[in-house]
Amino acid sequence: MKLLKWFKRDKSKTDNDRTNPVIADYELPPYPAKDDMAENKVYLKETFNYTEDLIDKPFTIDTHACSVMFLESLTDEEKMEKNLYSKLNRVHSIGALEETLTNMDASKLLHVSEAVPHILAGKCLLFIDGLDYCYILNTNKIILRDIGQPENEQIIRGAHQGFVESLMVNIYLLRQMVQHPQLTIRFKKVGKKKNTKVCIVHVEGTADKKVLNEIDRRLSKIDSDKLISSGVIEEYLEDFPYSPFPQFMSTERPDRCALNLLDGKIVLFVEGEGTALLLPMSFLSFYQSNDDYNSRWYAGTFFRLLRMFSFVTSVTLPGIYIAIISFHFEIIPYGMTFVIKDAVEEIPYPPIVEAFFMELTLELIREAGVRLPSPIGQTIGIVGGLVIGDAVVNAGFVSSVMIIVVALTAISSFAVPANEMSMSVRLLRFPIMIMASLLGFLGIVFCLNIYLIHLCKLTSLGQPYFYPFAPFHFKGILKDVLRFPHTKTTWLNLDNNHNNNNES
Amino acid sequence: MRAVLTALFICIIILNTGCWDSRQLRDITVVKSAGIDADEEDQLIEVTFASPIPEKYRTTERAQIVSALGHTPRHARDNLEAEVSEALDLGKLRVLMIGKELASEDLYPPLDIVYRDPRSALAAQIVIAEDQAKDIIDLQLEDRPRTSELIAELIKAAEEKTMLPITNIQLICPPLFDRGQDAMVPYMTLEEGNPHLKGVALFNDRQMTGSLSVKETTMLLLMMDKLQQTASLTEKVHSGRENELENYVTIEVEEVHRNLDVTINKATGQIEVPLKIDLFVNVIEYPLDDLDNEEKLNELSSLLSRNFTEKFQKVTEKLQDSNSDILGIGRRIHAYHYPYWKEIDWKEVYSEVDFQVDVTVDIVRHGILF
Repeated sequence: MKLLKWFKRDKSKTDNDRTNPVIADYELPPYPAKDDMAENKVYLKETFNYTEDLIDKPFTIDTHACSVMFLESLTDEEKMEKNLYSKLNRVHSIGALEETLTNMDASKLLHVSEAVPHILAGKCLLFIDGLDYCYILNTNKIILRDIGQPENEQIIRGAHQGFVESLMVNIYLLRQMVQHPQLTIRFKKVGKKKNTKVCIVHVEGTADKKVLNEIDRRLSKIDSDKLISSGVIEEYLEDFPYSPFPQFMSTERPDRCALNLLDGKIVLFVEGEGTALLLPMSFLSFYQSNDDYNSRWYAGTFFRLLRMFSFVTSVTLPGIYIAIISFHFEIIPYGMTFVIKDAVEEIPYPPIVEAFFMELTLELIREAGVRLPSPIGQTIGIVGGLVIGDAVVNAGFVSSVMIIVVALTAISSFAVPANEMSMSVRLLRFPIMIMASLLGFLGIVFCLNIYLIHLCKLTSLGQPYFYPFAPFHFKGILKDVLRFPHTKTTWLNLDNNHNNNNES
Repeated sequence: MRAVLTALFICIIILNTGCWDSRQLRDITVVKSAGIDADEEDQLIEVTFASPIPEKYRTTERAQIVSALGHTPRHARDNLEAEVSEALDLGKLRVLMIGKELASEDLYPPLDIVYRDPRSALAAQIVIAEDQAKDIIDLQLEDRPRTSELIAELIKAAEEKTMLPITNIQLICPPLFDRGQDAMVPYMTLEEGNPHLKGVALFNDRQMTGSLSVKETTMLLLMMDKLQQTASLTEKVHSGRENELENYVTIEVEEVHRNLDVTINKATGQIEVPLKIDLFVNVIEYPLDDLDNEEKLNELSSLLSRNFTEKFQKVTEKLQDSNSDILGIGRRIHAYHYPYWKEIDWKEVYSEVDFQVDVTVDIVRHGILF
């Protein structure tokens, strides 16, 4: 009971502690446009705190003083030229000007204060002296990254496109792949101030209604006032925020999203991010790559099995090594007993220290190399991998067998196609190592049992995470673990909807 | 906060109990071969342990060999702990060698510790040494692998060629206690300073009572229908040839069909064991050749049949001489003639059993020569 209370207290404390300085949301009192253009201008300049990229371009039409105001950094010169300047040359009276503006879809605003968000979005504001309203013109600059291959989700065969930072382009990419009227897109503004645009994509009829409603409910509960990114949204949507396992997949690949959409999954985009969230996800889907479906089915099956094996090795291998050399050396085959005995003979620390030292060094090398430009990253890899590895063994700090084990573990943790799963797997091995050093194989079994129980209990938006193992479904296992030829899978699809029919 | 600390404390205490059982590989002397001998003078037992020395220590010797006396094997081993730097561990034992003297008394007492300790290597080879086990364990041969490895590999190779029964410490345990069957254990000696396989030691209950040569062991194993990959036998079939080589034939047994039956002759009360063995053999060496001639082939096979019948029969007699029921005839009587089994004392009746061996040799292959 005490423990529970302690947790409760702690939680409330952290809630109160959340007083990070946040820029107050601007709320301007309405300021109606005045006849006097100069007055309007002064108001606008004051609102923008005399920022120097706020350009004021005066001109005259038929003796009437006019002025265009815009943020230089956000407007597109070409659009200004095309939409405004070229037309101004042809207009010779205010009446004609107003007519042209209306034809151009310029909106008329009665309050200058209302124009502020538009200017911030890159539009330009046109004042005409003597009129108590102003016009807003669409001249915003759009700078987009090319639709290129995602750096961290490369495939060998298939579409080499990746999402970009624009919602519309991303939806365009999806619609290109899924040309179906049932592909439905819903926008939603989330956050305390409702200023993050989120887009939920699903295929009507295949996606679970309950899941959709649940996503909607959880999104409306987001009351963060910070800048909301897909990571924040992911945590708000999760069933188990304390779980080490990623419950949704983030991907930059439209083809992966399209495949999953057709499978009844839901795709979620956040404005300004080139990453889509796929939900709900199961454990095995993190171990599947699009390449599996594009290669021959023998190869696809083999590599899929290899990846699952890599999960086991990356989680347990250091633990098994520690357990063997400190508890159960009998299981080393005869020929190897003395190879290993020779290797560990003069290591000054217990194996757990040795293992932690090496694992942490490796994680350090990886973390240091990951954000560096690639030439330096490679150097770090060489320095870390070869130099440290060799020197450490020669100096006798770490046994050579430990280096092999750590290297194998690292390689198998990189074999996971999904980055977030690779991260979790790397963390999962540390408890196993500690338990192995305390209780040997027994400890490993304890730890793996806890992981297994957790996996069985885990749900992703109400869908069982460890399907097809936890609600056991034999055909599902065949379908997800192996990769049968595409033409021969009809017998596997008999109860395709099993996953969706589970209560959510 | 205090509660969390307490929980953490309890957790650490419970989990750390495991450290008690940890045996770091680097702090252990891994014993690879062990010898147990009787020491006559003081009624003591002498154990000898050999363990390889890690290369890191850069010694000239490849193995560390220590021995000590004690009342029991474990007592002697405890005395040894005072002599070696690290804790002794027999978990990776490959060869356990027992002196003939000790085996002739009773094989079980020195093995008791091995069966009792859950960590002992039950898959280790057990070997009887003709003389002192210590002499073989002590060997530090320079042109061979380490003695423990050498003996273990030697036995393994011999097992594959049906020269030795497949045994280890675990497998000889049931026949040691079975009244209807007896054990046999590889038998080794020192010849010109090298370990040399002599055949098997035969046991009567738990005492060693005799031995068979390697060739006899092969025949015994064929009688038991325990042919491994191959079994080769060399037999003298002629005697008048000038060239001594031409008098012999070497065959490789490819298949055995054995038919063993145990009957009790109602009239005489005699136990009769008709033992019919069909050997399908491959002639691998026969300088006289002419085997493409069917007549000669039949001649050779009937000659072999006759010779083998005689020799196999002799093996059974040897078994009876040492009162060692390796073939498990007693078990069959126990199973099929239980009332009779209850009447008799098997060990006394066994030497009277009438083995009626009949070997038929069928040459199915004779190489690629025409």
